[in-house]
Amino acid sequence: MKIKSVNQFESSRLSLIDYDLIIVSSGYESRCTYISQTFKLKSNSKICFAFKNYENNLARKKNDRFFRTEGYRVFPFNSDDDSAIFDLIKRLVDKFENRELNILVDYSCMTRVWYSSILLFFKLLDSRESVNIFFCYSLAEFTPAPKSVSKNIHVGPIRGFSGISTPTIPTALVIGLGYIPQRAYGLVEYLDAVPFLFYTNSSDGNLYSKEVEANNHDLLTQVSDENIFTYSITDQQNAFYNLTDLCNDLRGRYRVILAPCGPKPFTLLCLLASVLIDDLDVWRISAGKKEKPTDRQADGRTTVLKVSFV
Amino acid sequence: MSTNNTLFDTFNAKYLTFGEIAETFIFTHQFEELIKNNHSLLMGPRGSGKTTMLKMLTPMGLHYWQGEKAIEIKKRIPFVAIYVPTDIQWKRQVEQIRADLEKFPKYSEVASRVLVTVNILLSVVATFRSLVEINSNKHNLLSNEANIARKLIALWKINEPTPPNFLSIELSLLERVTAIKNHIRKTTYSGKLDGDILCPEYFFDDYLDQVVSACKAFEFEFKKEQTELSNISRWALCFDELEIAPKWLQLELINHLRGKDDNILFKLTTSPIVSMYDEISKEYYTIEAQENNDFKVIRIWLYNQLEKQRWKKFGKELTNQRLQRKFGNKIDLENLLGTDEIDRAVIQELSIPGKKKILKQTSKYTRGSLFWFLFKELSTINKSFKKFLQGKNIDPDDPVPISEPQKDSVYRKVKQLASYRYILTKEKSHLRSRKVVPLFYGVPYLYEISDGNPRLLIGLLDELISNGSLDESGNLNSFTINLQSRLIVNISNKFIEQIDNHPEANKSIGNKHIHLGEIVRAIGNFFYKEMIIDDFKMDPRNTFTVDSAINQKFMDLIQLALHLGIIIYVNPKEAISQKGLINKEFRLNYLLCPYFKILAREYDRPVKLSSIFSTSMQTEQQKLIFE
Repeated sequence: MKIKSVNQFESSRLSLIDYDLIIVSSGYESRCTYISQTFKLKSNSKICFAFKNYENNLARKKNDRFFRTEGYRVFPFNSDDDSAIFDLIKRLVDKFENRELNILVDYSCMTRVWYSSILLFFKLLDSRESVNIFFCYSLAEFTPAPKSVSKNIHVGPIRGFSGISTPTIPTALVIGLGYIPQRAYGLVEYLDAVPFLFYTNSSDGNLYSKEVEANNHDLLTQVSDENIFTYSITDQQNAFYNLTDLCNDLRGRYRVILAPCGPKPFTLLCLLASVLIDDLDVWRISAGKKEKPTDRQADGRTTVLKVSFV
Repeated sequence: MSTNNTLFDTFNAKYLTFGEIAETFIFTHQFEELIKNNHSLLMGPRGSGKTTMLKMLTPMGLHYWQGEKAIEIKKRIPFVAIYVPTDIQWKRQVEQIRADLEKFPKYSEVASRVLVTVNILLSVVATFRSLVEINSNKHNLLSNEANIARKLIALWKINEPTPPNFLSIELSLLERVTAIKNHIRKTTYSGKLDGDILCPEYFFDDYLDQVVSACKAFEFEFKKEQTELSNISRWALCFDELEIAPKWLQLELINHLRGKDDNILFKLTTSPIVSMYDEISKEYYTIEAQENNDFKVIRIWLYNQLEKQRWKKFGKELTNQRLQRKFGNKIDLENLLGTDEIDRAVIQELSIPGKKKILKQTSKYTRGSLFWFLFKELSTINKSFKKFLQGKNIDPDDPVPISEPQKDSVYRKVKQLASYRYILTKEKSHLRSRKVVPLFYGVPYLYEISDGNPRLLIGLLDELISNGSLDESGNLNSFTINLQSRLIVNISNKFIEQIDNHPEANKSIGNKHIHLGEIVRAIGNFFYKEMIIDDFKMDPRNTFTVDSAINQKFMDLIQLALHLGIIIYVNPKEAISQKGLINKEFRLNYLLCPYFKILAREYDRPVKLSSIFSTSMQTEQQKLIFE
């Protein structure tokens, strides 16, 4: 399917829709349940991806209880189970008759592999009328970045979001900065690439953006100002336009890699950009299971992006 | 659109234009070897100038190269070079396809091959375009292009109708890439069996057949021309960065070095050792091609004293060129940084009266000389040094040489080691130690620690110059040895940071991870202990050999270190090796010496890597290494 439109959606309107399918996740963060608890979401088909590990974590137990009580069917997955997620979504979507579908995905606590698999399924689907996916994200209260940094374990293309090109023109590397120190370091030299940086501006919280700036100081000073962009997580639509504008501008002169190291909503934008524009590679940069579990509370803000596929 | 330079991105030739490369190209003896009429394996770590050389072999590189040497070389070069690029993004894309097509091994190989073929054909088109543009006039340019383009369209089964020009052929080949991508995508989710997948005919074209037929067509087309084009009878396929090509291609290209077609030469660039072990199939491959008989190895790193001498000459030329371009004739590097003589640090660090008088002494080892004081002082604070002197019949309280030959056999040999030990031991005993010890300075040291890597030398030079202070007239002040040492240690630290952050520097063994940074630190700390902490000896161990007890994944990290120039292959004997790194000798890149506070020198007494790990790493890590 192709992306028809990408629009910011008022979270207060989430309860106005009858969803054909709701997909959430249960892990060690308390905010897993925030969106389901806050908005009266209506659907006859509700599923929850639960992490196979951290089952004894307190917040996790509470989340599982909540989702079961609310009628969610819980499916346990490993954090990098891409094909299992893909197959499950296929089974569920195949059951629906061919009409416009409305699907809500709360990816606040999903791994990047999980929500990229959902998106990949719809990217490859070609026998549907139209599908609207409401990608919901609950912002977390600020917690400082961990002092000891785990080194990157996974650095490479995300399955289904990597193209093929010939090495006749240079690589442009669009990095989405996060607040974990050094996560993005080494990539520019590794790929011999021209770097471009995206990071959240202070409208999403001064503490977070200051920490992003402090922990990426070297990169931010090495890259020229014209190659640095800021965005707001709560205005994903605008961020998406800026990102796709840049990618369209770079295509032809460069082969583009998007490397989101930062917040999940930016990763989502990268994946969507790759669905919209052919030949953009999206890379996963992560410390994998080495990252220590931290219970993050919702800060009360929700950002929703409505993506329509035809 | 520009970025401030980081340490290693100053001079990557990959994406520079031919004009830019030719403008700063410095002729070397390795280039002289490379233009010879034989197959070549150009070996060196990242940043050593391999891509620059390959690109300078091409018609466009040679076209832009000016000067007497250029004219002479252009007359002698016996082939036309076709430069075939590769890069990490492409490598990772091909790997991803392989992973996606895990269930279709036959189709996966076909897909990998057709992608390689398209890349090579694009390179052929680019070369033909250069040849025609350089050697045509305004009257025959278009007809020359059209004539050869028609032949390529027919030979390569390019979709008709395609206009007979190079751009249209390129676009058609790029369309093939899109078609291949779509074919792969459909196949991945088709549920078909590996043997049932139908592919277009061009999926099965052999890249070498396609290149040979295109080159013959080119020769035939222009043999009656009254231009340089009529003289072409030999071609060189120049594959850059063999180590990141798919394994099947690496093996094929190495086997082509045996010489398949007399009119096609192969010029391959690669890391300092080509391992014939395949990680995926766990097989050791054999090859028929033999060094010297079938191909020549050209090493482009500092593996012996002669290369070190040559590098200093090259380094001087490169830094002069760089400074000339940036500042005109204003800067004399020798005046700014001075020499690297250890005396400069020792006189600063010794607490002795009459320093000026001491420096004026012509004999360096007589009573009351600088090193007389140093040896005397060191033997009071370091028992093992005292014992060492006594062992050589030298009185620690009055360390004068007992004979003239002893000056050479002992004093000259140990003066740097003793100086390092004195300054670093003294530093350790201070309550408040300085962040940087003044041991890393001088123009020769700059060349030494850039370790044969032009990109690194330029990075170092730029970093130093940009941190200098200006006098009232706006000229750079000369750098003190303290300032130089501080800046150089910072750069050395950056090198370690880059190792720590390299995306492929982490390997998982079971559910544990081991990082290249840990390995490098274990090696460096071992050498520091050997040189500075343990009993004083004239020849502390600071090279290592890789032994077979080590886990293969771990070996991959060492191979990566070699590719990145973090470790340097010394006394190279084998270029292509079935056993890979095993039993080969290595040292750390000299740029790491300031970080570990060790001397940039080898003593030809290698230690086994397993011994280093047994003494420097925790038991849990050791288990991983030897598993």
